[in-house]
Amino acid sequence: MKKDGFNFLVLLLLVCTSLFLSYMTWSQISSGPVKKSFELIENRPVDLEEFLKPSQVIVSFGQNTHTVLNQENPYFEETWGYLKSFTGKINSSVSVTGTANTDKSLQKRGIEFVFDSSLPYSLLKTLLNLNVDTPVLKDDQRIVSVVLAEEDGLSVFLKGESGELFKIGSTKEYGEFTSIVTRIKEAKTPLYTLLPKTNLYIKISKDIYIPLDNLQLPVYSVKSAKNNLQNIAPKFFPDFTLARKIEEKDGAIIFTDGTRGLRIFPKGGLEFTRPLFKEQKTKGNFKDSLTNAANFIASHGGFPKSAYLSSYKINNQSFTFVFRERLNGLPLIKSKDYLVVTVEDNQVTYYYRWLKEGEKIEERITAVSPIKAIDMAVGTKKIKEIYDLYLAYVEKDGFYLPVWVIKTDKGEFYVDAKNASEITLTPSGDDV
Amino acid sequence: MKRIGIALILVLMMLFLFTTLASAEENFTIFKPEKDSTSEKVLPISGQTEPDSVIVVFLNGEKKDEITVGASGIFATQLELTEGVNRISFKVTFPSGITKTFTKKILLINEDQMSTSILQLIKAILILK
Repeated sequence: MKKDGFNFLVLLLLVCTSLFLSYMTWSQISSGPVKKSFELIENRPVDLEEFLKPSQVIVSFGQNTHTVLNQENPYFEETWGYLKSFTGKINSSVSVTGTANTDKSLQKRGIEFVFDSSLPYSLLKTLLNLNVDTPVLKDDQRIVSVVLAEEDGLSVFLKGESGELFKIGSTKEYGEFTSIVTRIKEAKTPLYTLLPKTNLYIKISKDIYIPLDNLQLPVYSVKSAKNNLQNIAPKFFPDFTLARKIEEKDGAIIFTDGTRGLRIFPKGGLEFTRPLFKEQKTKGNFKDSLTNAANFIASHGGFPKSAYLSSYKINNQSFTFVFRERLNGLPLIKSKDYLVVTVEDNQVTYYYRWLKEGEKIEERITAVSPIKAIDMAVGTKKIKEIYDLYLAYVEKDGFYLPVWVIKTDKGEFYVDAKNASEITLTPSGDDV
Repeated sequence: MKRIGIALILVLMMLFLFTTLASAEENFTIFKPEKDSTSEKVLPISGQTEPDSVIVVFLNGEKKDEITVGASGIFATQLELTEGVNRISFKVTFPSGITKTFTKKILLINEDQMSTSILQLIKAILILK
């Protein structure tokens, strides 16, 4: 009887362990961060803020100590919300205060909100609920970041591409700001330092913050893309009955009605073109074109919740927007741009998407120091100048791997965050 | 006399050359911290030296970190300071084999104590008046 009881207990323990492990695996895949990063917005318009929020929030505690928050950090939303509530109340005039003096400002407490790509002032006004119209700031003035700094009480500045600062307001009552900065400091977020702008062996051409702690990052396996894009083919044509279907030897399917063309690649990629006649073309405005692009993606395959505006090009009469996804708050990079929309005359004339999902966490790695990544680039690539350095994910051989991205005078390099070796991205599947 | 003069010039030139070469191979610069006092307990440290140098970092005589410097020459670390004067030493072994020690003193000021002492000072001035 005693033996039966013992066996029962062992069995019970094994069943419980099995259930626990199954739950852990399931929670990572179906409702964990992996799934969340690749969820799609499909049946509603996309709000500009959903993909234009800053990529990084640099918090300066004063005296050269900093931390950097990405969108996954619990304090990100709080700091961003504080900035918007502050800027929404500003009505004062704008003044140019010269270029940013990093050494001086590093000694003070402050928060800098850095955007993925510089945004036109006209768009930033919408994003920050700003009611400031001034000849000092033109609508097409590009802004790279918004800075809150303890100066004249608490001041808010817009930083231009050349480092010029535009002071747009200040307040003497900033207890909430102090409280947020203090709480972030007490939360013991990883400490960062400014990479020395030295020119003995290498030149650093912008303010780059590097972590002093070794960051833990997961490696994800990539899920094979399901090719169910044929279901949305009718959405690309005003009258789908007029569209001819052509199957190519490589398995790609083409639909065309004579003016529009849609190619659905065998491994889940999609390309749509709709050329406009020259006499039809007029230039739309940036904000409307961007809104159109995002909503077009949402209604033609879905807009990834983690997507952000990575870069854009303005030609004479067209805007080309390149979006990327984020994983763990970090940019996801592939061998070529995988979510691109061109808008002319407020109509989408080109659309390319090739999205895949992360499946599950395969392992967790301790990222090597960014200095090791720089050493690799200096040692093997003989680089002389660094333009930018940041953590990201790249897709490689069926995995999403954490890497240090180094932009240099000799090009852009990806350094494996696990072992500081170089990673070369090679096209695979539909991105060939 | 002329020969002695030429020999002297040659010796001086050799000395100058050796000094220049030696100093070129023993660069060591601390970028952060710049100041000698702070109220931040955890102190970021960064600097630059010769590639392939080995730096052993000591805080108040206790070994805290050992860094092998890579091709960029850049290094960074962090130290948790104790209240009062902190003696930070960098024992650097350069690729040439020469070892040198560089020391920096940092005063950790307790912000609360600092504001209390300022208040006391103001009070003292008022009483004196």
